[in-house]
Amino acid sequence: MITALLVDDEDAANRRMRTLLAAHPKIHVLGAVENVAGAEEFLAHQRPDVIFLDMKMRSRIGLELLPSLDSRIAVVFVTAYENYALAAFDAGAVDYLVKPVNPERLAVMVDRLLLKFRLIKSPDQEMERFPAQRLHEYFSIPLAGSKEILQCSMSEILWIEAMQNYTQLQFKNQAKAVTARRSMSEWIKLLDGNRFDRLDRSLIIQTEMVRSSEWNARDYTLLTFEGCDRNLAIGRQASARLKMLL
Amino acid sequence: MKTVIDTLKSTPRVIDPFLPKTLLFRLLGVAQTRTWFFWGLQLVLWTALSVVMFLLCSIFKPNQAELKHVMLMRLFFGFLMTCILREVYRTSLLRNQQGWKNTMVLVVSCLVLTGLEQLITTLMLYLKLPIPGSLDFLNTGHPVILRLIVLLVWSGFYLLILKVEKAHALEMRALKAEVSARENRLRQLQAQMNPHFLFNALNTVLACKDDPVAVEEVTQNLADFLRFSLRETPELEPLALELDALETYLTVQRIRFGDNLICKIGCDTAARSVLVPPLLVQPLLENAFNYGAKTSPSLLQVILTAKLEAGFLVVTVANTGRWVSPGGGLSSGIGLSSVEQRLKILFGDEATVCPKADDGWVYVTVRIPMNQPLATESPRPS
Repeated sequence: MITALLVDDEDAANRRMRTLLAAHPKIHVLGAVENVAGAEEFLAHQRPDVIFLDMKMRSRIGLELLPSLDSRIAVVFVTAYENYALAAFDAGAVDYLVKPVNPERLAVMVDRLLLKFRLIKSPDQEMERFPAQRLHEYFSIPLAGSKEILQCSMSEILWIEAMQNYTQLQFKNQAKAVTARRSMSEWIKLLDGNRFDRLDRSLIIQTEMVRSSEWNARDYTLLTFEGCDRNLAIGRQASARLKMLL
Repeated sequence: MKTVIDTLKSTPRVIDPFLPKTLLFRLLGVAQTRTWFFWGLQLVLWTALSVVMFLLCSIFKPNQAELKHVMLMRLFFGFLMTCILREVYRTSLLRNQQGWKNTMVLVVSCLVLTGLEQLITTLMLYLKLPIPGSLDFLNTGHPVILRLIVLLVWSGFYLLILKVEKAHALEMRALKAEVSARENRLRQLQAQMNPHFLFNALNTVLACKDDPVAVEEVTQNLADFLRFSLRETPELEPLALELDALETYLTVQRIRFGDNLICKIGCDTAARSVLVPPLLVQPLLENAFNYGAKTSPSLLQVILTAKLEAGFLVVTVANTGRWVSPGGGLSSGIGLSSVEQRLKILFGDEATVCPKADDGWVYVTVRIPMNQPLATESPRPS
């Protein structure tokens, strides 16, 4: 649980932050104040883990709060001005949000905070956790619904989708997908973390095999892979992750 | 930082004297301001010289009437020779050669002409042709030296005036370029603000006011899109940046049109990293919506694709509807021709923007060659 203080001279802005943060149960808003003086008074009695700070406020600007701040308190700037990002990071801020605050961007910021306070593990590290158990390039998969074992090559895997206890793999130059008696979490440990990325809870792809993507107005994105006629539909979150990877 | 003057100085200004246009001007004697200036000065100079010579002869050597004739003849020849010198200089000094080359041309020309005159005079003497003036003067008056000095001094002044005039012209061009650049910047800023889209989006927000999710979505995407439009842009940046931003643009349009709109952005992975000028595609998309909305059947479809084909980046914006020639100007104030112009400046003549209409659809295809762009500083690594 991370506690937070909101500092912004606009009441509406504070209300919005509260609403947005309500979607993240791990962050608890202790209070909201209107200016630097109010913040100082608040901090005399309570110590939040993080302060969401507006930059330009009526009497004193947000940056002024920083010198007197306990160094263990994280600072996230929330402001309409883009240009001060560098200055903010120089001043030691954890993150910088522009108004109007984008809920998806806020989610990224929350992840960053949770990481900083060691409440979650980095997702990037997820696929590199167990190097000792890595599969070789050529390996075998137990198929679902039979005692068969399929020999295949890691480089031929295009994507893996979760299907309850099993997973479905699509290979290059294969018309149909293959269902394997292996779970998503097992695959995460076994696959090469450099080539494969997890886009969301139920999808792993081999990123460099993505040939093109087609975004369809806010509903879904269709991915086309090398050597495959079937397209893969992914949702917004997966699509956002993919953009960062490409 | 390179100033406008530096840029102008570094591009050579070459005027081909044998260009039909220039020759014609000279043949017809159609006066350009510079010509008037030259002849005016010549007239003043030689007339003044004549008058002075006349007075000097009258005062110091009143008895030698012939001297006046000689002087006048010499002045007349002097005038002719300076005209010849001018022609020589115009053809040889037009390119920005080094100073010493110019001096060489100058000195040599004067020497040649003086020598020529001397040659002709000697020839005439030899042939016992009548020439004005007594032999005495010709032998003792140091005419060669005098002639040479006069020609050199005249050439010196000619060069000086030429230099002054060039500097002035350069300054004028720099000023004009600056004014034009400011106007362009203003237009660009206006285009970036994109008032047309902005007001439509705000209208959409109002229309959705009973649907908080839609309001949130439109406002958020509008803000993100505006932020993208208004930021400081580098000369070139990866196509992926603009395409991702256009998703916010299209999301707003999707909410605005509701079920009457189908839109897609398709992009090859390889095309994402190609460096293109910012706001390349967006004006085309605006077009598609403006004209598509007016001329399309009830369901408007807008499809944007980007792929690599045979060494070109090919970006196509397709929409249902009819082709309307952009006579009245577009909402963003940027026409297809100016997009094409911009591309040709950056990428050379191979870059093209081609509209096409076919079977109820309008296609606008931008092709950019994949070699290094010309006429810019090297692109920053992405």
